[in-house]
Amino acid sequence: MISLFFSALIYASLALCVLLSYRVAKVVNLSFGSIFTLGGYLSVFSLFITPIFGAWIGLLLHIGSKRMDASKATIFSLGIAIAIEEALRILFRVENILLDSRIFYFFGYKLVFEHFLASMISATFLILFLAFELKKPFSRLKLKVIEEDIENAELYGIDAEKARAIVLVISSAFFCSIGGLYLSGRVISPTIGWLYMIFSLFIATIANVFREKAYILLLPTSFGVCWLV
Amino acid sequence: MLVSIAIRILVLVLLILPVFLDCYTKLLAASALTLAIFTVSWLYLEKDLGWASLGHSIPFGVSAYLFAINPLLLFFSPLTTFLLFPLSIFGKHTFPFASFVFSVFLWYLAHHIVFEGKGGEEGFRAPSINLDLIYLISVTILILSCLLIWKISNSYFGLKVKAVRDDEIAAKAIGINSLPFKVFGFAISCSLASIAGILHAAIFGHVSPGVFSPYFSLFPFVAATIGQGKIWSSILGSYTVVFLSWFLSPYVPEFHYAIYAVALILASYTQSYARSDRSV
Amino acid sequence: MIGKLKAGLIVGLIVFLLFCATPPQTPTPQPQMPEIKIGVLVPKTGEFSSAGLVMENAAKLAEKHAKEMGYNVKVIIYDCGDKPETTKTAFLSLVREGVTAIVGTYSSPQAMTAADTANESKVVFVASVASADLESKVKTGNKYVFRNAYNTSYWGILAIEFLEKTKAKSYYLIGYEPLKTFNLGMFSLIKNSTKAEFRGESWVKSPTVSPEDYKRVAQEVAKKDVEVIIVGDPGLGSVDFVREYRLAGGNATIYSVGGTLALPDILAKLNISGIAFQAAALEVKAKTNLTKKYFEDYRKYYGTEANNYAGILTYDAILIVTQAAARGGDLISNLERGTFIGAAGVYEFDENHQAKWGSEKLQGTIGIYREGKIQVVS
Repeated sequence: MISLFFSALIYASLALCVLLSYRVAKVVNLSFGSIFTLGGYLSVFSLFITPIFGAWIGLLLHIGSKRMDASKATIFSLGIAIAIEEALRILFRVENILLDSRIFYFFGYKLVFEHFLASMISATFLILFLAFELKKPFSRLKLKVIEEDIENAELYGIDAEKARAIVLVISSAFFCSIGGLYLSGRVISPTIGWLYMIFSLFIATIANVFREKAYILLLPTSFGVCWLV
Repeated sequence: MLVSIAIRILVLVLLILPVFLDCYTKLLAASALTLAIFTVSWLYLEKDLGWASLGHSIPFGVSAYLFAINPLLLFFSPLTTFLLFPLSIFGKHTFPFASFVFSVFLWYLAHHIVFEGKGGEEGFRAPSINLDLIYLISVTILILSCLLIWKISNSYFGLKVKAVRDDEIAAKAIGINSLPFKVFGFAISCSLASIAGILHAAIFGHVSPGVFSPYFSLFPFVAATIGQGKIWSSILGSYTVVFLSWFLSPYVPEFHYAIYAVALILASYTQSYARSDRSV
Repeated sequence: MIGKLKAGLIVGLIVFLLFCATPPQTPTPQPQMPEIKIGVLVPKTGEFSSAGLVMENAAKLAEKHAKEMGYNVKVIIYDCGDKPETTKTAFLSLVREGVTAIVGTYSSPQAMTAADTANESKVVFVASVASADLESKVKTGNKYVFRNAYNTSYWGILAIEFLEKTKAKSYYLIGYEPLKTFNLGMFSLIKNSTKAEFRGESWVKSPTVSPEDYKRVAQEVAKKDVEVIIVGDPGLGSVDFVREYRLAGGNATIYSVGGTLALPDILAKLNISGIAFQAAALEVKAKTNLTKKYFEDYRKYYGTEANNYAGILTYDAILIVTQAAARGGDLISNLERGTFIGAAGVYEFDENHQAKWGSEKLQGTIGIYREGKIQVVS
C-alpha cells in the first residue's frame, strides 16, 4: 500500500507538469518521456545535474516553439523527444545500464532510497502547488487568465511568454530530476520514459475533465489509476 | 515545372528498375513501395479533408493483423475506418495527437493479441506471396491509388469534400451535408492504408506489434513533409526515408528516427502539414 | 533577454556534448582473404541492441579463434534490427555477399522469418539464440534451417533439473504476459514433470501496458510460503521484479530462464543473493577446451564479462558452420551427420536439425549468484 501511495504521488506530480504545460504553455509536451529517460542516463554521472539539463531542454522547447500554435508546438515537442531518444541511442545504445540504488527503511518498510526521495520531492511539489492554487495569490490569478485565453491575458498586460517559459523550464527540470531518481535500480533503455509520459498523460487527461478542480483532483485520480492499473 | 517532371520520371524509374534487379533490392523497393501507398493514403486525408493523422498505423496495422490471423478476416478490413473516424470528434487541432495516442495504445495492446496459442510479442506469421508477384501488385496498386485520388480530387464530388474541409458551416449553408463526405474521405484513406498494411504483411510474411509503432504512425507525415505535401514528391520521400534508413543505420542506429526528428521539427516551422487551422 | 537565453542554450549544448562524449570502441580486427564466408545477423539496433553487441563481439572472437585453428574464415556481420522485416532484408543482403551460411538473429519472429528466407534463397541458416518452433519448419521440408540454441522444452527441462538438484519442496511460477505462449509451454512441462509442490502462478503485464505491475506481483508473491520462484521473463523486467520481491521481504530462491538475469555484470551490480539462472555454459565449468578460451579472450579483448547465452551460442554457431564447411561437399549433409566442437559443448543435430541439448556432451549449465560469486549448481 505504501508503495502504491508513493507511486501515486510521483505520477500525480508528473501529471501536474503535463497539465500545466497543456493549460499554460499551450503544448501537449510529448518530449517529457525522453526528458525523463535523459534524467535516468544523466544520473549515472550525477543526480544534481538532472534538473539543469531538464531546465535547459525546457528552455530550448520554449524558444523553439514560442511563435507556434498548440498543434505545431506539440509536433515540435515530438521532434525534440525523438531527437533526445536518438541522441541517447547513439551515445549509450550498446550498454545494459543498471542504475545504482540504495535501500532505505521507512517505518519498517524496506524501500529504494531514490524512489522515496522522488516521492518526497513530488509531495513537496504538489503541496506547494496546491497551496498556490488554494490561496489564489495574484500570480495564480494571472495564470488563470492565461489558461483561459492567452490573447486576453496579453491585453491585460500579463507576460504570458514569461509564464510559458517558467512552466516549460520547471516542468522539464522536474521530469528530468524525477527520471533520475525513479529509474534508480532499473535497467534503462532510450525508450523507457515513454511509458511514464503516457501514464502521466492518461492521469492528466482524466483530471482535466474536472476543469476548475483538475489540479486539486490530480492526486486522487492518480491514486485511483495506479490502484486500478 | 522541370523539377516536377524530373520527380515523376525518377519515381517511374524507381518503380520499374527493381524488376530487373536482385531479390534484395526488390525487397527494399517493395517495402518502400508499400509505404509509398501508405503515404498517399495519408496525404489524401490531409490534403483533401484537412485531417492530419499521426495514427495512420491504425488501419495499416489492424488490416495487417487481420490478414495474418486469417485472410478471410479481411472482410472486416474496411471497418478500420471506424477506428480512426470517431477520433475526429476531438476536432482538427487535437486529432493528430488523439490519433497518435490511440496508435500507441494499440501498439501496447497488440502485445496481448493471442490467437490459437500464437501472437503476443512474437506476432503472427502472414501468408507469404512470391516477391516478384507482390512487387507487381504493389506497383499496380500505387498507380491505381494515385489515379483514384486524382480522379476523386478533381471531380464534382471531390470539390464538395474540399468545401467541407475549408469551411464546414459555409458548406452546410450551400446544402452540403458534411458527415457523408467526411466518412467517405476517411474510408478512402483508411482503405488505401489497409491495402498497404496487407501488402506489407505479405512481403515480409510476418506481422508483429511493431506495425503500430511510431515508426509507422509517423512515417507518412515524415515522407509527406519531405515531399512538401505533393503526391509524387511524397512517394519519393517514402523511398528516401526507407533507403536512407537502411543504408545509414549501421553507422547511426535507427537512422530513420533522426530523419523523423528533423522532419517533425522542420514541419512545425514550415507549415507543410495540417490544414487544421481551417477547422470549423 | 533572448540573447541571454540563446547563449544559455549554446553553452548547455556544448556542456551536454562534452558530458556525453564516449571513448572510441574497440577497433574491428582486419579480416584476411576469405575462403569460408559466414554471415552473422545481429540486432545492432532496436530493443535488443545490448544483446547485439555481445553477439557481434562473440562473432569476431569466433573468427579470430577459427583462424588460430587454421581455418580460413571471413565473418560478415549485418544488423538485423529488432523486426522480422529488417531481418529479411539483412538476410538477403548477406546472400548477395555470397556467404556459405548465415547464423544469428535474436527474437523468435526474426528467426522464423530468417528460416523462411533461408528456404527461399537456398542458403543454410543456423539460429543461435531464438527458441521458436523451428523444428516444424524442418518437418515441413525446409532443410536449410538448423538451431544450435536450445528450444522451449529444454528451458523447462533445466528448470526441472534445478528443482530436483536443490530438492526444492515447492515452487511458484511467474509468467510474463507478452511471452505467454512461450511461458505456457515451459510451465506445463514443469508442472507435469516435477515432484515439488506447485504453489500457484502469477502473470506480470508488459511494462508498456502497466509500468508498475511487477510491484503488484512481487508484493503478492512475497507473502507466499514457497522455496523457489521460477521467472519466465528473460528481459529487463525480471531485474525489476527481483529487486521489488526482495524489498517486499520475499526470500525464496529465484530461478530465472536466463537473459538479463544471467549476465554476470548485471548480477554483480544487482548484488542480490539467491538468483539462479540457466546458461549455455559458465566459465567455472569448462565443457571443452574452448570454454575457458572463450570467456578469457572475451574479457581480454572487450573488457567485460562474456555473455553466457546469446554470445556463446553465436560463437559456437560460427565454429559449427566453419567446421562443417571445411569438410567440403554438401554443407547440409555435413551438418546433419557431423560432430562439432564449440565452447558450450560438442554439438550434433537431430533429424529436426535441432542441436541435441541434454545429450552427454551438450548440456546447459545452471548457476546461482550467492554472496558476490557465481556458483555452479549443475
